[in-house]
Amino acid sequence: LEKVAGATAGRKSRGSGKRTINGDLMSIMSDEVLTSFPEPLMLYNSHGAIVYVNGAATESLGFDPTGMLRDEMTAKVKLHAGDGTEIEGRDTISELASHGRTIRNIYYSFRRPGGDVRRTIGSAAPIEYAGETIGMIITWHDVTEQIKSEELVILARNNLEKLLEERSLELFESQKSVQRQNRLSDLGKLAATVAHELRNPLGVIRTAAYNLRRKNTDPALNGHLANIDKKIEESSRIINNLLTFSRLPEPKFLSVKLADLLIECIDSAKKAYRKVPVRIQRRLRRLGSREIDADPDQIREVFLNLLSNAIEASKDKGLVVVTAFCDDEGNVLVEVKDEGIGIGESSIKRVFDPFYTKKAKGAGLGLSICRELVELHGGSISIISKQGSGTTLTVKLPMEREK
Amino acid sequence: MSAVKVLIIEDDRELSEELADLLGSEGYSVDAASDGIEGKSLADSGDYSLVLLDLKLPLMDGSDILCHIKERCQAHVIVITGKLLKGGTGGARVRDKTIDFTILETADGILEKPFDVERLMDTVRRLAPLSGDTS
Repeated sequence: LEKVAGATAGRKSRGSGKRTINGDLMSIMSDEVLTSFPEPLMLYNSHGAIVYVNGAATESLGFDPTGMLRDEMTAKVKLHAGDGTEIEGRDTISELASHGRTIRNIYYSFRRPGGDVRRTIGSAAPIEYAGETIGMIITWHDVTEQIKSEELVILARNNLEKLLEERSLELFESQKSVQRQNRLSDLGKLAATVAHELRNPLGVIRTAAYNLRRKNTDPALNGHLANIDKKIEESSRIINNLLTFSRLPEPKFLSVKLADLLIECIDSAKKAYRKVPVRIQRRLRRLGSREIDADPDQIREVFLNLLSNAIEASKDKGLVVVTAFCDDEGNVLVEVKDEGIGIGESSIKRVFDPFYTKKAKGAGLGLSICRELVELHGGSISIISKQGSGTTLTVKLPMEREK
Repeated sequence: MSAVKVLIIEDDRELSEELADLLGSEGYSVDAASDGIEGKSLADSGDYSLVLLDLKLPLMDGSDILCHIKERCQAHVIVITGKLLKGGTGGARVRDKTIDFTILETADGILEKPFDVERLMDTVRRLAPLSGDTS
């Protein structure tokens, strides 16, 4: 036993008086067992000095603490409780164990000399011999990697949950806006349909009243017929108002320098899609400084819409070309041409229909509103497209407003 | 002196009746059709000076009949529609996109319902003058 204790002491002790190996302790331990123990393990003697450190413990700590006292050890490794707060003063595990108590699975962390923090679950127990506490044994299990991966899982899960929440909110919002648009437009359609249907019977009543008056020989009936006429007039006005109301607002015509307006639209589109690597080229020279009669807000809406469609359809580094020129019949023509994905034959007939869309976002009203706005200006809009090789939309606007 | 013939193609029976009565009283000889097919075959068979044409018709659309008549016959056509127009007859600006430009360019007159009867009669007299009027 002395031989073993001596050998161990010779190998590991720093040799102060208190730090000498307790022969009784070593007599009941086998050096081989301790050395082969796969988890970190240390022995303190009854004076609180570390008398044995196995290889796993040295490796885990990053240094060999043999011979150190408990307080020195605590200070050196900056022992932390599991929640990350620094443990002031004494190391609770060894503290408690040194008072004869067995502590199991205490979560704590320490800092290695290199600086990295290890998280561990440790246990400590007093070593009793012949009714006396002659030392204690401490062992721990490094759970740093395990916690890291758990934390990663939690992080990933939290991110995923957040993402999911954001997405569902987005979806909810877009659904709401589609519903709102649908409802508005359904109301508008209903109003238009009802108003429209009323015009037929009203037309008959008017003609019938006219015939009545024509055939009437009794002057006493004239007043009644005049009242009927008056009310038909009123109803007709109400219906027309309703029909107008359920449509887009009439353009407020101004003299607009079209080239300037187009440049403004192109600049806004570039700004809105600055992250998209699509180039917009303008060929407006033939337009000169020509002015047209148009509602600048409505025409701006048309071209912004066409430009954003073109950009969204474009592939990476695609080119959008805006070309403008005049024809012999007093119209300006503006082409918005992209080299994008194009539109298949089956879809092209429907692109101007309200609520027709192949995009993930949007209600599919863009082109139908464009067409309506252009037609309110007395113009027209046409499309040429081929699947896979781009789309050209041409807007034709009369330069002078039809009086 | 042969009568000036007018064809009414209108699926609303009451309107058709009232119009026939009115035109008849003016001195026109009036025929009426209540759907597109009947209207087209009547237009083909008779030498009408004027056709009053509704756009929304059963069996055949009014705009198709309009083109058909204009291609083959001499008749003037006044389109009567429930669609909203602006500016009335002649240079009406289309506000309803379902009325296409060909109708505007092809028809001799367009009236929206409920039309002003005096205005209709003015147009009728202008396009299909009764021989008495010219003397």
